[in-house]
Amino acid sequence: MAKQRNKFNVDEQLEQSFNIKQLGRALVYIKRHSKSLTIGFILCCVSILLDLLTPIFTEQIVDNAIPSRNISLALIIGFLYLADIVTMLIVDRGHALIFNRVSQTMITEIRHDMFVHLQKLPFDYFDSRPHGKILTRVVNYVNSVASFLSNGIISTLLQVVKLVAILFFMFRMHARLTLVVLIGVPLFAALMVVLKTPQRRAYQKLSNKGSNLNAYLQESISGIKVTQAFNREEINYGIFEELCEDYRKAWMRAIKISRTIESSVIFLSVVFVAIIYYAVAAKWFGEISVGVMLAFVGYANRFWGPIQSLGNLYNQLITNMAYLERIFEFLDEPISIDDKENAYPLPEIAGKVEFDHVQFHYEEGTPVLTDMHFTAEAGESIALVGPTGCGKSTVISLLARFYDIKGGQILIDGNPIGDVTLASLRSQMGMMLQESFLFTGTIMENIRYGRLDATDEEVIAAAKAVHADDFISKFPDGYETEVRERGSSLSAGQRQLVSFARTLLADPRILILDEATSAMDSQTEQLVQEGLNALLKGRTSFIIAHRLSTIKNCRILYLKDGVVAESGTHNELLAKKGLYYDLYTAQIG
Amino acid sequence: MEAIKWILQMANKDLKRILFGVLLTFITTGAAFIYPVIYSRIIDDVIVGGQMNLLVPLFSAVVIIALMRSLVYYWQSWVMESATQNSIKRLRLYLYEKLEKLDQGYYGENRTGDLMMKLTGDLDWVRHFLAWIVPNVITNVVLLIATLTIFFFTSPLLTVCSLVFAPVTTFASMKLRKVLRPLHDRVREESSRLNITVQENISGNRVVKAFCREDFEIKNFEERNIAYCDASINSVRTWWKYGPYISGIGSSMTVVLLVLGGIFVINGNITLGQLTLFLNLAWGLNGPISLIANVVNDHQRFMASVDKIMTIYYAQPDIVSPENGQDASDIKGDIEFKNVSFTVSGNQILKDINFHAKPGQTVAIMGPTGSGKTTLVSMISRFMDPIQGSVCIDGVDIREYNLGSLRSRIGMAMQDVFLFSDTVDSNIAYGKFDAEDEWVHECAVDADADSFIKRMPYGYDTIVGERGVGLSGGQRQRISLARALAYDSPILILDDTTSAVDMETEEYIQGRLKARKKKATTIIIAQRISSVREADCIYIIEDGRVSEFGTHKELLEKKGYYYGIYCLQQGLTEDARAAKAGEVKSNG
Repeated sequence: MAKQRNKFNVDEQLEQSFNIKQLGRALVYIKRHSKSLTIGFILCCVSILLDLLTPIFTEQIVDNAIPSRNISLALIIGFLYLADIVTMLIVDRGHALIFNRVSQTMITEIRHDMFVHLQKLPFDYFDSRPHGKILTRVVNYVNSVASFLSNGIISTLLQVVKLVAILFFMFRMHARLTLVVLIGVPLFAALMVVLKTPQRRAYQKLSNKGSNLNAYLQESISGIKVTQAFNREEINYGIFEELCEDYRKAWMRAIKISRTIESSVIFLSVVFVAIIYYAVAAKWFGEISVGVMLAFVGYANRFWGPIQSLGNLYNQLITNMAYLERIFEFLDEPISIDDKENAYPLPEIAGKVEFDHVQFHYEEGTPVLTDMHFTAEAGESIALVGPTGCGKSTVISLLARFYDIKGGQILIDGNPIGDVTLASLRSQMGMMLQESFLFTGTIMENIRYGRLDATDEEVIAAAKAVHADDFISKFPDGYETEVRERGSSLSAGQRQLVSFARTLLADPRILILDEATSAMDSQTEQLVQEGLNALLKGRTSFIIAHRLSTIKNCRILYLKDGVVAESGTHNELLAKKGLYYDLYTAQIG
Repeated sequence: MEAIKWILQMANKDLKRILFGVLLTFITTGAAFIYPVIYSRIIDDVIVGGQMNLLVPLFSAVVIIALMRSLVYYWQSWVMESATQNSIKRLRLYLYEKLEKLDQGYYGENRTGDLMMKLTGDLDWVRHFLAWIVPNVITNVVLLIATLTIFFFTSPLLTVCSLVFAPVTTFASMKLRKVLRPLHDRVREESSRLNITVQENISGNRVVKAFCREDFEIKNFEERNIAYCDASINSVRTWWKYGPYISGIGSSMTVVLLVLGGIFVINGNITLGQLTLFLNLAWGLNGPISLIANVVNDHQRFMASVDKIMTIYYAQPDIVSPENGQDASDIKGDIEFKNVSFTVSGNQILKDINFHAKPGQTVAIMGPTGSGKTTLVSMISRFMDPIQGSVCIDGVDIREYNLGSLRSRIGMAMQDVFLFSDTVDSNIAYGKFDAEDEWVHECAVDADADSFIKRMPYGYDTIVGERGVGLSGGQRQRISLARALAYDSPILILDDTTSAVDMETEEYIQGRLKARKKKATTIIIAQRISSVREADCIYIIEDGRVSEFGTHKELLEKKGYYYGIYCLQQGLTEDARAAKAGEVKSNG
């Protein structure tokens, strides 16, 4: 059976299992900034070094200046200390700015790649999951991931460097005392290992629940009118409440694990400082001065700092892996409709279209086209007729290669459409789809979408050709009228006229009109028709319309059960008294 | 400030929890003070004083306190997190409920991507505020006060000396606050614009592909993407202009303490143990001060988000249910428009509309594109209210009915079919969620949807969506019709519901509708004569006015607009007759 579409309350299953290689893939983005990151890294090292000097100042004052009652020495050391701090701040500012720039650039780059990939994905991808979930992936996940990639990985390196440096200082100061402090590390590591799997699962669940919430939210907003019309507010509120609750629970679960790790580090860090005091006081390793001990404690506190940071980083790694997996899964989403390896640009289309025994189905087992076979000569107008769901729109989608056929061949001027580049194919084809989606922006911008370099005059000419100018010029703002989301400022018929003008402006060699006039009144439709007849000259066109009055000048293909059942002109088919005749007589009643 | 009041009000139910959390925070913070005290005792009494018998008790004390403190820390963060999460959930639900109440006017002005952001990204900043900023500010203020108190009792002079830089901190943080706000507003704005761009691209993916506009879309997106990136970088850069002064001063305090404290020890003003105490507690001073810069930053970012969220809070729908509105459950379905006029920003959409549909009647509305038909029927469900005149159901102005009960009596199939990402079954039962399967199937049969639904791989359990898998426009219309029928209401509005289905199907549907047991008052908008000819009355709307009305027959006699359309649609018939007469023209 075909795979079911994803729904707002169903978690999207992750296809891949946890794989540290994902991080390796992320390296591609990191590598681009290796220069900046190296500078940042060096600055960080400098900062660490400066930071590690500070216990020495403390030690010097406590052990030297105070016992020797040397106030000027204390002042000099204090001055050096201050200089150290100021330098550190300058260095910190340097690497912070570098990392910020890198991480922001990286966000931009990853998001760019995702968006570019999104443009290439086939309809299937958009059709098989709520749009809110796609949005969440492309926009939300990236933010957190990229700052982790730039800060996190570098921080990890830094913390390790810091740890090594601290250990170096500690060993130099007192080797055996250092070993005592080190006992804590395996304890901590063991805890991390134990919690790894539940933590990963918890964060994956969280990202799923967040995505579900977003998906439902988006649909609630897009479908608000239906909800209000059907008085469904309370039920939807209940569903949304459940989704919020799921999200809250997932959050609390994830937090539980992170906080366990944090609490443990807090505990361990104190215990091992206490052990140092104990060891010194009990003279385990002989006499140790108070100054040395304080300095050592200073290092020991710093030692647990990086460990704690590493713990946090590990936490972030787990969280971000959940997002990173989603991102790479998205980028791995196959582009099922793409240019073949040696695809060539389709030369300027003359207009001969052949469907050569084409077979197609959206879902295995439910064939839509079983044996579609016909030829349209250059410049011919073809009308596709037949009962709802007989595959008319499918024929058109296949012609523009929105889906790949499962058998047979589609040829344009003898070129199989699978062998030519998609851009050269689609850019010569003008489609007016069933749903006339308009973008937010002005009417002018929407029509110009058909041909980006069209002048205002050309846009207006196209609008005039389909009689859209009549109503547009009546608006106070004319062509500068804003089209709002959900098209609330235009009626359905007006939207169709605008989208018609958009298609015509593209000046396509093959024109496809799928129910282009369904929402228009008959008079407008007739005006459009009259204009259209002139425009159709010299172009091959495919027209789907239920109102048969609109197609009387075309050659008619009557589709049934995925094949062409009848073919001929209006008059020929009427004379035949077959399927078309029945349809026609029903219509004129 | 109303924003904060509202947020706190939403958090009110968890107030006890939050207070408890803060109390626990005091305990964890306070406990951290005990270590240095114990450590200084170890130095002064054990190491310097040689009282070895005190070592084990002191050491055990540290370990026990540390253990308790970690447990309390865990507890505290659990309490605070759950209080925050509860509050956020409440806020989110409040906003959702508000969105459900807002009218079409609001949705015309606001973009989906932006509204979504308010309920997700912006709310996350509120979460950050509650979970991080509030507890941190409280903890650190307490910490600062506690530290200063201890310092003061140990050595007043040293304490005062350590505070010399405090004014600089204050000044820098005030400056920071002022410069950051506009930058954060910009970040927020850009991120919303980015969101909108992507969201529209996803919704319009078919058009993008049909026009091969991928590169154009990428270019557009890239502009937004980079603008967002620049805004973010800019805000961070500005932070680093002022932030270091604040945290730098925090760290310098340790130096002041060390040097002056050293001098004081030399002069015998304080003991070495006391100095150690100062140094060990220095974090209680420089921690809170260093934090100021971060708090200011996050607070300003939070405020930028809150301002956006508050736009939903303040938004008021024009169409509201009246207080103690009349119950509409028992209405019979007598609809009357009395001199109804409607304008949108100065544009007259409808003028002096009068029409009457008696219970059980079918009334059809026809008219040119953009003449106001959809607006007219939308008024029955109160998606718009008339500017003048009134719409009455059963003789009562619909503005006097309880809005929910009114809408629950009107089944509507809209021109723009919107299906939810859910099963076909749930979509049909959308308005009647507890409907029996038989009822859903019956309505699907009446809408001629049953046959194709059954052919789908999962039948009624197939999940469809806005652009459902392989569903044609006609199929979506029929599901939407079934949804309206399943609502089982005394009033049925069909706005161009069969424009994308073929004639045979339409005829079938008309027959089924006529045969339905309960006859609803039906308002049909259509373009085809065949869809409207059977109606009890047909109204022609031109330029927002009723230009003619009557039955099919009456209108034909009038020889007006309707007659014109009739001839136009019949035109083909004449052609056909002519063709049959022998004048066969070949199309090649």
